[in-house]
Amino acid sequence: MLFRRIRGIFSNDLSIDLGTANTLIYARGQGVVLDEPSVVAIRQDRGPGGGKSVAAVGDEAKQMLGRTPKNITAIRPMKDGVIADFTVTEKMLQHFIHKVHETKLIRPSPRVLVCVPCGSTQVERRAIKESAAGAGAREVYLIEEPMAAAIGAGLPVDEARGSMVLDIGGGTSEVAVISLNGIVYANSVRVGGDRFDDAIINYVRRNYGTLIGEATAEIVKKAIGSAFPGNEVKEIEVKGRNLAEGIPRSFTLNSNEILESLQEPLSGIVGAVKAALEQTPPELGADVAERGIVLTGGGALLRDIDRLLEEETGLPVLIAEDPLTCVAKGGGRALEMLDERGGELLFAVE
Amino acid sequence: MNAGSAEDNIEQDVLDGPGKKLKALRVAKNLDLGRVASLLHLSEEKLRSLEAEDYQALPGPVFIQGYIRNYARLLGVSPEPLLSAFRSQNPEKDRHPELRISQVQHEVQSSHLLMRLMTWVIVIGLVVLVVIWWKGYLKWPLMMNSTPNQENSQNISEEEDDGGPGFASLPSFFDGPDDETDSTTGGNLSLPSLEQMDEQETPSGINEKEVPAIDEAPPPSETEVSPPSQPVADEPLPDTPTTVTETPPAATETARVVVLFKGKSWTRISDASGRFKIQEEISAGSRRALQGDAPYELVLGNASVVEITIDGEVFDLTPHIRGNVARFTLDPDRISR
Repeated sequence: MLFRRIRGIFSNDLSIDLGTANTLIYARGQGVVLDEPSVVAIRQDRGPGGGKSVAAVGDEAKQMLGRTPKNITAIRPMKDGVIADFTVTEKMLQHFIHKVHETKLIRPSPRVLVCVPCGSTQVERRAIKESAAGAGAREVYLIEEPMAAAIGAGLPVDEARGSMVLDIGGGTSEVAVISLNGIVYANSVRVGGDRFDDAIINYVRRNYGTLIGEATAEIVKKAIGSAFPGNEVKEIEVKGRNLAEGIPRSFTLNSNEILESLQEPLSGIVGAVKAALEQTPPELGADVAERGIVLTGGGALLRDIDRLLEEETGLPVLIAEDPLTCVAKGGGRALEMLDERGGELLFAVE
Repeated sequence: MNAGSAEDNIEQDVLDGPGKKLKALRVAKNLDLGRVASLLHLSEEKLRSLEAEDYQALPGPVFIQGYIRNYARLLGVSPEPLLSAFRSQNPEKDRHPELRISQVQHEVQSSHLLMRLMTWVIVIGLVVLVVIWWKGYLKWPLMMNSTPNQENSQNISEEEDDGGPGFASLPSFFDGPDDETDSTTGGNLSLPSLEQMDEQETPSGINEKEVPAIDEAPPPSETEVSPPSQPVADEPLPDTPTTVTETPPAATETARVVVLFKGKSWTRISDASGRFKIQEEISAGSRRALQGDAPYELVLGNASVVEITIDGEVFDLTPHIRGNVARFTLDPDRISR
């Protein structure tokens, strides 16, 4: 006990939003201390039997995506909200935990709360738990993402009123109705920012006969992507490899084209929200209709996605303040609660 | 009025609340409240409360900020000044939701109080066991030697016919007046008694030699056991109960009833006081001398192979045998009379 406390002095308790696209770390009392892409570059050492080592993690590794030589592979160890590559995830977490403790001489051993998609299986949860433990966490707690998102957005989750939250992440979109500290209904669809990028890549290949990379697609999405037809049409110039000629070519995309390309993944999200409204008990449904749906996650930054959902559902749709960090902040607040209540009282935490 | 001048207006009257500004903008745009409400998917009532800045009638700050943002966007102005005005008006009380358990799936960690307590209990238990073992380390081999007798000494005295009379009959003859550990009491065996047993018991080889020589010379083991006042063992045996330990005839002296098993038999015998009890399967060739107070309750399985002698005389079992099992009460006094 004493030993753990001593180590606790030297390490911050962390809430980690281990996302498909970005990993956010919220340190207790400090706010969001890390926001980096969930990308790891692995270097295969030369020579026969050469081992593997981590070349870069985070922002640096993301720049390498699709631009690596033969002996380096830049990979995204998370896929659809869950771990796709166990050891790489562990390395990445280890790196991030060290990074937020970089002034410390003693090896950090924090308590960690990790957010998991509500649709993840026991196996996937176990993998995340073990991965965090392997990265040096002395205790690992799991919380379901919609719950963390709702707390982080500041929704009154403790009230006996239904609050609907839609968290559009990189790999998954989670929609949940929360009341009295519990999840009444939750659904997770494997549609998120990544699917938007893929949709743009496919659209460009089909209509322009040109191949663009994931990074380019993401830039396009952020610059001119929108979910609802607007008044102004934006344009962006992109470069890709022309499939017919095999030569890089430059061309211009406009926001209407991107809107068109995003229809399919967007309809997946709209469908999930509609299904959630259908499945919600009527009393809670009435609360949601009265107050509105709250959007969190990086996907909420897609222009006019709230208007799309408003039009489709006929309900008020609100974007939470600072939607990207809602989940991490909510997890952090849950972690604080964990301490205040003596480590016993916490809802929906494993 | 274009959007730019509207924003200028907002900045000018910072002291005005966001609701009033939104209302002014709406009126300036000549928009009817009902139309705005339908565009925002909000009820007119809510919108009126928002414009009147009656925040009690609206859900929470999250929702209010969302409504302001949507309203501002509808009117084509930047929501930020309005939001900051709202925040300055309503400094966000650090409202933490009352989080309570809805489902606790807390894994019991090694740091858990219960786990730590249990660990300590186990550790202390182990230490105590080790100490006990260490203290009794030298005694154990001796106790191991005497275990058959020790077990029986709680209830009975067992005499193995092939084991030599002096060896097997020991515990039953601890009833001597100077022997503090009465073997028939069935109480805890204290270490001294074990030592005494050992003194008497271990030289069983010697006993075998000495039993025939009992009339010739006092054996050394007897002098140890018997009181100093009786150095010689060639006096009549009934007078010296402690020396009796060495000789089988003495068995019949203290225990009047002796049960001899010629074959294997399941036996249950209890005396009147309840202190003496046998309940076990006894192998062929064994002998049991009954202790305790008469009368005895006997149940003898395979009764045809059991022979009972009272004061050396054979007791006839046949009247009590039903289907080769004898159940009866035996009172030696009544029979001898």
